Amino acid sequence: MLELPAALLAHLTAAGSLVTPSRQRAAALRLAHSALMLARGLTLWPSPDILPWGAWVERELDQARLRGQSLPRRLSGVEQWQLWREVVLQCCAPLQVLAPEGLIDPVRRGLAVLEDEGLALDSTASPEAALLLEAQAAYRSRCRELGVLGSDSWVDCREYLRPSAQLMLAGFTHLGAARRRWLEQHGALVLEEQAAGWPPCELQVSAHAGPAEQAQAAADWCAAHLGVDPGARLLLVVPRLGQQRHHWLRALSQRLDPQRVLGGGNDERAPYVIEGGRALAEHPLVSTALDLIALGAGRAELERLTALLRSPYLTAWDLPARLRLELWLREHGLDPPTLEGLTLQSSLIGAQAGIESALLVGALQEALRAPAPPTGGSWAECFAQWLQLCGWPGEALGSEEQQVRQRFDVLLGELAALDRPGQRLSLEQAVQLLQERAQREHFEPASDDVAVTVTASLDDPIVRYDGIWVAGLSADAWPGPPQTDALIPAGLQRHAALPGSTPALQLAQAQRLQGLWSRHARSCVLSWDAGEEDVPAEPSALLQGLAPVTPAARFELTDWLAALHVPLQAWQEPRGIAWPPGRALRGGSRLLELQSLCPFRGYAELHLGARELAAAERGVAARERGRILHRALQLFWEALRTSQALLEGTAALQEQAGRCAAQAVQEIAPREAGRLTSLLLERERERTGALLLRLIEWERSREPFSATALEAPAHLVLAGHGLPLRLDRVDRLQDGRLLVIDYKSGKPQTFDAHGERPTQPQLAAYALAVGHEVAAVAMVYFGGPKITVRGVADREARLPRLAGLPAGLDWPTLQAQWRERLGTLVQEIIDGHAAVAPQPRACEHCHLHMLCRIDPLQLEAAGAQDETQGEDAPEAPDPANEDFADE
Amino acid sequence: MSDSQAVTLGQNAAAALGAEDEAARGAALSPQRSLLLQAPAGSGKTTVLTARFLTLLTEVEAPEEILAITFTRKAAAEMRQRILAALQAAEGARVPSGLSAELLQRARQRDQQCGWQLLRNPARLRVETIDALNNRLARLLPVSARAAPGLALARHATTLYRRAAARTLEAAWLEQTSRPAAQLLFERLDNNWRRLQGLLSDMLRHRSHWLPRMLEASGTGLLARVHESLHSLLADELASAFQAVPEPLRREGEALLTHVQRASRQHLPRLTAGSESLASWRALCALALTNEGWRRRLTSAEGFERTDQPGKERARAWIEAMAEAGLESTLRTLAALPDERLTADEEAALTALAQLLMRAAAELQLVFAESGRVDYAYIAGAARQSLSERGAPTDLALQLGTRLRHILVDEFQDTSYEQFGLLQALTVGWEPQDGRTLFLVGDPMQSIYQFREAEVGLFLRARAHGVGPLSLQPLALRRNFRTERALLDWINTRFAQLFPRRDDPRTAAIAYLASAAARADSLGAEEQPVTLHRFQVGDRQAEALRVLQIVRSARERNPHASIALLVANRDHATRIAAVLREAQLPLRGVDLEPLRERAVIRDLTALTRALQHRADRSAWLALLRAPWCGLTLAQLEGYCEAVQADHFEALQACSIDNAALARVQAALRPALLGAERALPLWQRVEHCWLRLGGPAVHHSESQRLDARRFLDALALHEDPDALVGEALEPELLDALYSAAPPQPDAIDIMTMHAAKGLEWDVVILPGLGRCSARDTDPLLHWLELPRPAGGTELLLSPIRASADEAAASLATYIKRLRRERRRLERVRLLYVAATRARRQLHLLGAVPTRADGSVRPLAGSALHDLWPALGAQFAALQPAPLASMQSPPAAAPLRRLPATWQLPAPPPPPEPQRLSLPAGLAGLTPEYRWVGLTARAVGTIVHAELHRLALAAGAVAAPRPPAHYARWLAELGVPDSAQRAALARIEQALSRTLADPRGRWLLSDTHPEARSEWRLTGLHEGRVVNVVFDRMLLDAQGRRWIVDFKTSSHEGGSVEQFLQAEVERHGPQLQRYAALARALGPEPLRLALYFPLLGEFRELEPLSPGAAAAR
Ligand code: SF4
Repeated sequence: MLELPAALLAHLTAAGSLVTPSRQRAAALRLAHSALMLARGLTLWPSPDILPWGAWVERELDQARLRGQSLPRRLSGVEQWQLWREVVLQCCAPLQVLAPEGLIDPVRRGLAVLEDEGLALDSTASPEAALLLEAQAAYRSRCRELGVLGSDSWVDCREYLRPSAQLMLAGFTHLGAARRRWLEQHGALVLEEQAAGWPPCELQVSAHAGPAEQAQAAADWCAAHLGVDPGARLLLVVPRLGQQRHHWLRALSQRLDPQRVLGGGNDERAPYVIEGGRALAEHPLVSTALDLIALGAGRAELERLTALLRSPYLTAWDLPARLRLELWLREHGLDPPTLEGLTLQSSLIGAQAGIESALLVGALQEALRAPAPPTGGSWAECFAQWLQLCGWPGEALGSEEQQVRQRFDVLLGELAALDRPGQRLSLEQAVQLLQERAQREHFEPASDDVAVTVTASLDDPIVRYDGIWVAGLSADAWPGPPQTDALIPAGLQRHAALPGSTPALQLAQAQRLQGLWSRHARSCVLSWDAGEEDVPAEPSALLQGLAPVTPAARFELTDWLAALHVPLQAWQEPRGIAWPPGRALRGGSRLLELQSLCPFRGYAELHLGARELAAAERGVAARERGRILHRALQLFWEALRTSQALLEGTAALQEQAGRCAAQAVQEIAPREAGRLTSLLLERERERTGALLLRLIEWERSREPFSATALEAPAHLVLAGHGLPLRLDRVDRLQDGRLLVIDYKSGKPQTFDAHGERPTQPQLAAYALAVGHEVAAVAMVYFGGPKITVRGVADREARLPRLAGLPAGLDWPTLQAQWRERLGTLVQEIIDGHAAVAPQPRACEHCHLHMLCRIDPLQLEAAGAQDETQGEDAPEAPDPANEDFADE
Repeated sequence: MSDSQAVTLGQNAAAALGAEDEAARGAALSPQRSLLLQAPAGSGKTTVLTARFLTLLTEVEAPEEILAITFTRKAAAEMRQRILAALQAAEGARVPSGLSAELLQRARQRDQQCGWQLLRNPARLRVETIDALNNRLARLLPVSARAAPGLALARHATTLYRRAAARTLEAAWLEQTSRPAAQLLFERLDNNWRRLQGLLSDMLRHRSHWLPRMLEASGTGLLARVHESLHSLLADELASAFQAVPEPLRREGEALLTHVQRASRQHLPRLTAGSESLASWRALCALALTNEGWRRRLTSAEGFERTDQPGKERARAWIEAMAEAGLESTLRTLAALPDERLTADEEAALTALAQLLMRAAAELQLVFAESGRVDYAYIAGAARQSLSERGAPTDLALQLGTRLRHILVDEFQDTSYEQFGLLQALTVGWEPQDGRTLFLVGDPMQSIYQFREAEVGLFLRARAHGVGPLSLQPLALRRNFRTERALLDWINTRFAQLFPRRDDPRTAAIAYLASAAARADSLGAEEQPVTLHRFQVGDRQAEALRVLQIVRSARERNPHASIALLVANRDHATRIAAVLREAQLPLRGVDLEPLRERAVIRDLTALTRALQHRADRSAWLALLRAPWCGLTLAQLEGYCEAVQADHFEALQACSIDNAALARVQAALRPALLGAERALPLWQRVEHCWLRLGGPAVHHSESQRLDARRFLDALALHEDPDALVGEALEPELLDALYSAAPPQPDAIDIMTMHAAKGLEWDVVILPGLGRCSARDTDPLLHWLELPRPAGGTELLLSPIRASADEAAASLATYIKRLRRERRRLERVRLLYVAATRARRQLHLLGAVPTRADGSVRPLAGSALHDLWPALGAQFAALQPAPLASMQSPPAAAPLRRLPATWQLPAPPPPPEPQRLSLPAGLAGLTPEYRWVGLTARAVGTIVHAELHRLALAAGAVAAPRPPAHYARWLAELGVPDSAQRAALARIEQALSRTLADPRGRWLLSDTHPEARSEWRLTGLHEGRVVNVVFDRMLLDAQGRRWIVDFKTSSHEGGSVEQFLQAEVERHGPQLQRYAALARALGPEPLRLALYFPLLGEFRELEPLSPGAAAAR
């Protein structure tokens, strides 16, 4: 149970007011008071008047107004912040400081220190000092202009404040000299640290391998305490809580509240509280609201737009439609990435992602259309309406979500509070202000009486706890290096002996705090850890000689689950289910390629439709670029037909190539393109034309031919199953035989015509589909620095640099071999063969590692690049490139 | 095979080295002098640094006057520890070796005299990394550094670079002025947005390279700077070639050139030392060299007619003479020289690229400001800025509160230009002999961090010319305290062959400096200091088995021998680690095995992705196939039929009869639909992971540690929203490695880089025959070469066009030079690896036998680099018999939890007693409803006024003038437009109340007892609650009234219905008031709501205590 210092209790009982340095300490004192009242058998009593300093100042000003004192309009907290923001940004403008908003709080803190201590600053001391003084002057002058009281400063408000003997201050580890003098002059009491007179407990020490282990040990210690005394109240002081929050959250939730973790509740009923909380903007409920508002204001970015579409807080809208729209956006991008862009594309969305998705776009647009008289208040109302229309935040909010929502409403309200007569706030400014506030404000779920409080604060606890555990006291941190105010010259701080400003003061402070903790707890543990990285650490010398604490019984859900020793079933599944008879095979030659590379991959893509989640990016999608190129080539050869035509003048060919490129872009590009896309498509047209010309140059060096088929559908029957294919191009050569060309604009990959599991089996498939007249098949890579050909022909020189058959193999034999091997692949597909058996390096560009669960050693074996080729090893196979003509 | 061909240092030579070493150690302690100390491996430089630090402590007025900069945090911690241990030792403990007792005493006395209390307050010792120093400076001087406090250091800056790159490209296209530049670059990169964005973000990551130079020389200045550098480069190279080629050979070369050019009637200028003769030199190189070596066949291609036998003879004789004169490398250097001027295309591309890069840097600043996060490069720049505010050095002493008098820098060989600049800035104004000193320690032979911008040429420059105005006395340690003599002799012999003869800053070439062994010999007769092992290419299994054998035999000799496996690339250790693990040997991998392919991590990845995106098909399929569910492919296919887009919906609708599926659904539900939605991502993942039985599936300690690493990384990620789909891996997993639980006598496995500064009895270097990954071209080929006396040469060339086959010569030159620099660094890395061994070194590698029977290592492998010294020995070895599995390893069986398994309930934790719950949870506030801002303000004012009216005696009670309320409303943020209506409502509420007899009765001061805004605390249903009674009064009949004021107003519908709804809504709250108020006295209780806006009063019947409890 928490215990109050007697002097303080007497003061409260006499209806005095008690001021604390923080809200948290005020809450602890109220609890201690309640506990005492209950112990005295009371069931109802006047609430004790305990409040933090800032609240006391505010109340005093209210009182002054009630007393009839004429005081200027007082700025609310958020107005002060806004005014400070204005002046700090203005003062920083010539200084070119990055993110000057970050200086708002330091400036206010720095000035408060100067006032509290009664220090005078010389503006020439440093640029930091100059900024402080300039900001102070500007702020005061702005307040005068506006005729308001910027109640930030107690000095400025002094004439309205009435400290008296009714007022007591407690827990201020350092009260500035000037403030203390002024308070004491008016009779206010300052409770000294020693006043409680509690005897010190024995300090114990605890050492740990890392912060996670330290948090776990502290959680175990708490459990042990609570096991003995369910009414115990414990304080965990973690100076580096900001970086280690997750360790403490994990340890405490699993140790003190495992049922909730396994049952799926949130922290609201937890028997512990961790002070600080997340920034409001990081809460998904608020980030959804901010994204919605940003979208409405035309400031969304693609990644935020996709996040919005996945949000669980828009229940008014059909989730499947939102997800479809999200997937569409990932595939196609959006230009511009705004509501306007969505609207521009909505017919395409409707056609491809479904009509509900397109309707969703319409609904969004409808909801976000808002009249906007530009003031904070009207924006606030307007945003609230938008959000409501969008169905935010949906139904069935939990208690924490409710609280978050309320806090967000308060933020909206604050926006309204920023209005000043005659001042206009643009939509952009309003959105930015709201976002900034949401970033600044931290949300911590309301908690009142909890058994364990975790704090980063080294404040005087004021009350007495059953136990205090202080973590992180390694040699480098305890005492830590001097902590000086960044804006006040260090020399001045040292001169005034401000807390933490010199190493000696830091040491003294550490020693003092150790004494304080020992007096404010019935048991107290000081712990240290060896840090998270591989950096050696030592305990602080101040822990020397302390007795080690006996470790409490350890419990952690992870270990507990592991210790259950659940026998796992082993299973193997080399095949899935057979392809249903009568159902056509989809995917053309890519299917063969996948199956050949790895049966599992073939199965996963064909049967399960497993595919990569596209990344939402700008630019023209790779798939679209491939299609443009194929189409342009088709158009070009449709017009030319024979190599004879290549002998025509270069200018005419150039013109032809340009026309085909333009037509291909026109046909394939989105009908309504944003400005960026239009420009990029224009570039794409140029690129396509240039690639065509390169190809023409190369084709001129070939033996005469005529293009007999372009983008031609074909049907291949293998192992009794039909496989639809599409052939980029078939040329008839001089001797009347045929050559199949597959265009590729990616990086050249290997082709092995004779492998058991052929790489690039599509070439073999094309050859078989064309029939006995075929004399060569080749992939022509024309995107790289030189045109590369991979394939095979019945003899040398069918194409420049195309290999002929190796000695001892004739063309019909090769074709028979292909038929047999491709037949085997098709049979595998039909049988549902799904073994995890990748070809060399097949896994490098595969997205299915999670699904196939390939063993790391197997992966390593498959990943071993062909070591004999050393640095010259070719690209790993990547069937996902943009040239997939069969689809 | 053991390699024992080593030259033992002669006694005299060893003695000379010993004397030099002794002198250097003594001089290193001089507190007056600035020094540069070369400290080779094993020379005990940390001891020297510690000794100097202690010596300086005896001189300074405050310990903060000394700043020691280390390369890593670990090194900083170790050094601080050493200093403290030394101070402690002064109190009687054993004196650490290498330090004198007298020095320790003096340092300790000084500490006591000055009252520093260093042992209690070790943070006073300023030993830190350069990053920490930068951070401190930037935070201490935020205005001068132009970086506001509160900017956090980004853990994942890649996202920021990518964002800035995307915005840059977009803006470049959309803005007329920059569009030509964008067009040009897109053309070069085949319109590949993704690639260009990637390359641009890589450039942003490395901007500390190029940005300062671009800022210095913007616009055409940049081209001029490059041309100037090209000019001076050519002048240097041609001058040294001119010098190197003896005149007779040069003349003969000229004659030959004239001879072969007769046919083409070309006329090349004479060979001079000037750049005008570059073409002639190139022609000379072409005549003399082929790609492989000296030219043997002379044909018409070289300009010799078939019948021109005399000409060919003459040329052959000349080529032989050139070869004999050892001029191959001179000619090769010449052949690779770029043109003196960039081509027009290159100029245009460079200008365009510079424009885009500057734009990108500016965008990055905006992205930093928006996200509130910056990278290390930014902090470093800010720190520099803070030191040179307005061009003049800031008075650090004044601002930092301490004077800086001595700076010690460790690992100086790995300093970057940026860091060198910081050092210069810190020492601006220092003068020799003014009591301030710089002490730089390093070993250029161990410079291995080019990829982190380290420039070993700076070490050479500092040695020759000092830093700023400070010249540095060069010293070198020459004794090695680590390595056995035999092994050290081998290292000296072999590496002297591998290291270049001379230092050369351009290629970052460092000459070898031998050390003498200081340890006595202790190797047993059967212990070979160095053993070479050869394997067949690709036979990783044989290599792994050999490592096992080495480890076993080392442990047989000494069970506690420390052993390390050092690899050039992380993946070189996979098979070996598996084999050692199988043999039950404890391993300790330091950042070695990537987490991404671990089964436990794959499952967690699938889970995370599934929670992040309900339509991420691969992730959901993987989730359902993972061991906690284990759906078969057939079941998965059945499930897929139900999927539209939303997998969780499909899961709920799925008709497959499978208990595991139901379990998964239940485990995920809270995180997707329930209370856990509000938790941060990492917690949602962890809770689902526990509910799914993850730790029961992956139950080993190392698996649990891996899972913990993953979850911690997730918790610390700054932008969890970005962790969607395929992005999760690069964003989160790329930098995560497995950490095995600590075990005694574990064998260390780590990269050679990570081994720096460590030592073991036995060091094994496997995989030396394997190639390292190829480099990809950056957007800008960049090379900055230190000029000997300060300043730099700057060579820049943009990436080649995709279809550009002709090698752009400057780009090729830079690439070639960089390749050479990297090669030399690889040799240094091998030196670092080899010198980690105390007793034994094993080198393992596969070398192919070529078709022609020759044995040559693969280009790009470490063996290739070692070949000049070890080729003959390796070639003579028979490769170990093939041990690799001929067929790929079979897939391990899958595993899954039994379908019927259910998560048991955990043991109950202690149940703490609680006095109170938050108001929301205790049900003390009615259901939340959005109340407009104006309505809230009206409520506040009306409540306050009713309170005032109640306090003031009824007689004087009256509303205040409207202006008063108008001001008040404005204060509460009510917009002008809403004020009129709000004022009307306030007026209406107050006047109605005052006009209403019931209202007057409520406010009257004639009651026997009355309170307004009464704050009470009490016990309700076992919980402490705080309440505020708007009005409490005892009426004349002795009844106690608790009345709550409600300023809500009704819209639409009848007033009566509205009032009824309000009564229902607030009823429970009033009943709680009643329950509490019974403690006030025995009077009968009455409850009511009063609506000032309507002048309506509604009474509620208080429930009896029993009924209330039942409810
Ligand atoms: S990762 Fe490898 S084994 Fe797994 S499906 Fe892909 S290719 Fe096959």
